[in-house]
Amino acid sequence: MDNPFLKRATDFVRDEEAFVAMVSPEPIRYFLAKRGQDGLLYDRLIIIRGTPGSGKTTLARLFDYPAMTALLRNTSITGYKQTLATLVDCGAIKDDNPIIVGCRLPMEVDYRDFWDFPYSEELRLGLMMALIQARAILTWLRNLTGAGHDLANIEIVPRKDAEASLDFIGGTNCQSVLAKAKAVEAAVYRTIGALVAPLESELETESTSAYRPFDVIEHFAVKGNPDASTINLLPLVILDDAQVLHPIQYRALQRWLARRELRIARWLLTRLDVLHPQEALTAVTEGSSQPPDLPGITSSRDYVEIVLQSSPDDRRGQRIAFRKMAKDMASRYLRQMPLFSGRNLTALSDLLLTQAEPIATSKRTELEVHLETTRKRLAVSEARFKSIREEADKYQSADEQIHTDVRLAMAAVLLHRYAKRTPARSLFDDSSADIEPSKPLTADISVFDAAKLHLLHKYDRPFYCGIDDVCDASSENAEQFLRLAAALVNTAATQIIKAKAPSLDAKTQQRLLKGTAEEVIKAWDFPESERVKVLVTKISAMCLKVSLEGNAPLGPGANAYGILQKDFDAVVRDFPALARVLQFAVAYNAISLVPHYPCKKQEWCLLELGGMVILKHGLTLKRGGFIEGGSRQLSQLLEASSDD
Amino acid sequence: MNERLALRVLDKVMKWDTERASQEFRWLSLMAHFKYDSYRDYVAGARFIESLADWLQQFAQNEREVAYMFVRKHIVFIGVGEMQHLIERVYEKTVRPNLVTSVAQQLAIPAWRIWTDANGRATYDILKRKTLFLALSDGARIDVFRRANTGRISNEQVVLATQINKTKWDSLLKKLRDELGDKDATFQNVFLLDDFVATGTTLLRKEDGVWEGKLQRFWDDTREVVASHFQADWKLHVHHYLSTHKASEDIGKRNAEALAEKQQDNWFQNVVFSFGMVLPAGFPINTGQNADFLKLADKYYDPAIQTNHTELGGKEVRLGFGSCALPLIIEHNTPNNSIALLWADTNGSEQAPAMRPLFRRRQRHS
Repeated sequence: MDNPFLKRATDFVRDEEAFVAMVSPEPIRYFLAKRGQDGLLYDRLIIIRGTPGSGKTTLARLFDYPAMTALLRNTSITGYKQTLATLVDCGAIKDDNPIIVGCRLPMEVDYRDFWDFPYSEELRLGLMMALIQARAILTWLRNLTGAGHDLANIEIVPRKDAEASLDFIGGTNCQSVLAKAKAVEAAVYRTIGALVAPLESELETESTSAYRPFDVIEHFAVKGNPDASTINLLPLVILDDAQVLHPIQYRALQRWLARRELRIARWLLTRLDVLHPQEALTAVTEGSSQPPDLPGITSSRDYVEIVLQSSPDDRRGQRIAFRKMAKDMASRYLRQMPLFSGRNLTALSDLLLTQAEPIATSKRTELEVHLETTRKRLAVSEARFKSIREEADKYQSADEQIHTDVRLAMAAVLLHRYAKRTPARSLFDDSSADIEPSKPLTADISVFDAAKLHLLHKYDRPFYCGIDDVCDASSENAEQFLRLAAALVNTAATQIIKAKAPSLDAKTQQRLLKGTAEEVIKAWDFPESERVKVLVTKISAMCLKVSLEGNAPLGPGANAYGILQKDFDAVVRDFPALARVLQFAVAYNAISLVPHYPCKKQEWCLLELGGMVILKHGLTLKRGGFIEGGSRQLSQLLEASSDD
Repeated sequence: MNERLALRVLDKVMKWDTERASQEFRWLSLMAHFKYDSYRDYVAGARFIESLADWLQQFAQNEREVAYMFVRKHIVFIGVGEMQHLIERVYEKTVRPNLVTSVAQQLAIPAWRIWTDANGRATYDILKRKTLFLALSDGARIDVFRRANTGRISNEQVVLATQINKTKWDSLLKKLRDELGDKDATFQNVFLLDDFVATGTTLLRKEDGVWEGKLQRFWDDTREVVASHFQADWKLHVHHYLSTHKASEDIGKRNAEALAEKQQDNWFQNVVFSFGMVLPAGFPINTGQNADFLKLADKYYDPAIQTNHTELGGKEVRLGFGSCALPLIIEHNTPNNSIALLWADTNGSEQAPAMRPLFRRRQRHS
């Protein structure tokens, strides 16, 4: 009963054909295709930021040359067509030929070690750049020869103004270029691998002399193709997991790659951790970190920054795109499980019932009694109450059948709203007097949503169910989606084994989703995670309080904390400790920032709780409802918890 | 039976709800694939999960949870990988240090200098060649030992059994002398290897006033060649890959007793016992932690499993031979010292229930 959802399956797939069959192209299409069509992906530095599990490495692997050639080898396979079309949209493939030759260099190994050497900063950076370039050359050539091209048929075409530097990288002949890269890599590696760092004067010439292939290479010209044509391939280097570098190393690397004279395509993939809180928060609020200390570099001209999620632009579009991607990914994973594929169950949505079960009759009776008590307490006339009940009964949902318990809870919300919209009365007033409310009462979707949330907390009626809830609770993060889906799929598999119907009722879904969310939060161990837990718990409690108010003033409820934008912009300066906590909360999906949110004629920055926090505390997944606060109050909340 | 069907049967046997079944199925699938299905006695269609379902059915419904949780929490299964590891450790952790110590004493130099001393290295190589490795039983997996030490130990130093006839001894000696170019060379060390020891009774015991066991048999078999084929100060090493805590403490004492009783000319002069891994003293199950399961062990016991051999370890084998009460399974066979409910297979009688095994034991003793 192997469950591929339990692991990031793509991380464990070595075979390229299997990898491209499993990977969903949707996030690539969403985040990169437009920029690819605009020609922005390969002519300047692209910085791709994302939380852990947002799909950075999967994205990088797809642009790796072996994956692209695997796609091109199998163009007729239906499962590959979407992915192929996406790479065409991104400008990586044209007329069934690759345009780029990609190589992915994970930064986790070796590169950070340079920073511990007793050398000058310049030398340490120089060694790192030399190693990156040597390994990129080796990987490009290995990828090309691995795809069947003879090394003798591959030639380096230099930039016109860089011909003088050509000799330093081994010329245009790839055999000598390869030999030079091997020599540089070996020399630098001997330095990294030495038990005791050699003296500067003892460093091998190969590691310290001029070696700048990135400055020299324009593209690779590959001859010897079946049609005797020459294919020009633009080299693309993808530096993955750059957050492991020392911040100074990272900035130098970014500055170096952002230079406009470079012709090769270069992508830098990183989490938000490596940034200064100001940059990190700016990156997710403005879509660009705009680092202040990179002189001469402007983000729009010299590099493009792509935030894989939590981007403030087009949130609705992102949610829809993520749902599509998640469903696609789930189908690809389900197809690997014979237990499901053997029954033609390849859509996760088919396994998740969307209709929640009503509460038990005894509880419904209790609810009815409570409703009548409330009517009397609020001194609402029977006639008005009748019209409120009729209004609640009239409401229809396009998506689900509405049970009596929900209609009763809707009536309760309307009852409270009525009381709020009429002058205050006491128990001794004449309850037969029917006063018109200041604003008409309408049973709409917000009342419907509020009623269901109230029933969750008062009667434990299932609230989260269906594939869309699973997607929305994932905070647009593939890994979180897989965690949630894994628990559901596992139980569905158990039901099949038990010879029961595989679909999960809402109650089971709710239990599994909440349980998984609690496990995920419990396992947080990132920097400042304890304070992040405190922060989100306190925000959740405030959101819950307002969400459960009888009249449901925020409709479906709140799941965010709002700070005036101008106050938020100063949070790093005024409350640096809070800014640091927020940075990691954002970097690890505990919170999403929604900047410049207009409400009540003011501009807010919303601290929207992550899906796992929402599931744990039973809040709405619908966006927009927030409690008003301020950065000072938030900071005080954290300080108070530190004092506890 | 495929896994899905086996799990379904098990689910019916246990009557789990979906949540519990979901947890258990994951664990069962993982452990079956990772470890338990590799048990040698299992055959296609009747591996761990199927055997577990069958085993649990011998208990009343309200007893099954106890039995299942015993398997879930207390069984220790030494799989192929672990046993291979224990075998691979023998040379590095036991043989080499012994040889190094001997060479250091012989040359009167510190042990750490042997590798920088040409004479030290040469003496080490000679001593290594003068060492024989013999299997005490099938469980010694001497084939694995030989492959693990290819290039380090010659095939001529590894012998599949301990009962060797004179011709074979002569052949071994001739090859030693040919290889060393020393017509007077004789053996200095003998390593007897075996997989597991729980009480040491099979190895050495006193039965009706007479010493018996594999060690006694080895003494009897080697008597006629000791003077001619071994050096005067030769050393016998008895190495078990795995041992109970009790055996690791008792064997040496029993050997000392044998030596004291038999006197020098009738027993090995230098015997060293070593163990790849010693199970902790608290490893056997006990009434403190496993009272409920021990009740099942009492209730579901058929004395028909008792034999002449098992009586050497005590009258009953309810808790296994020698009442060791081990929750131990070894991939190639379950030790008879493990609790009988895990391995015994009987037809039952009017007085006793039939016992169904979870890990059927292949009897080595008749």
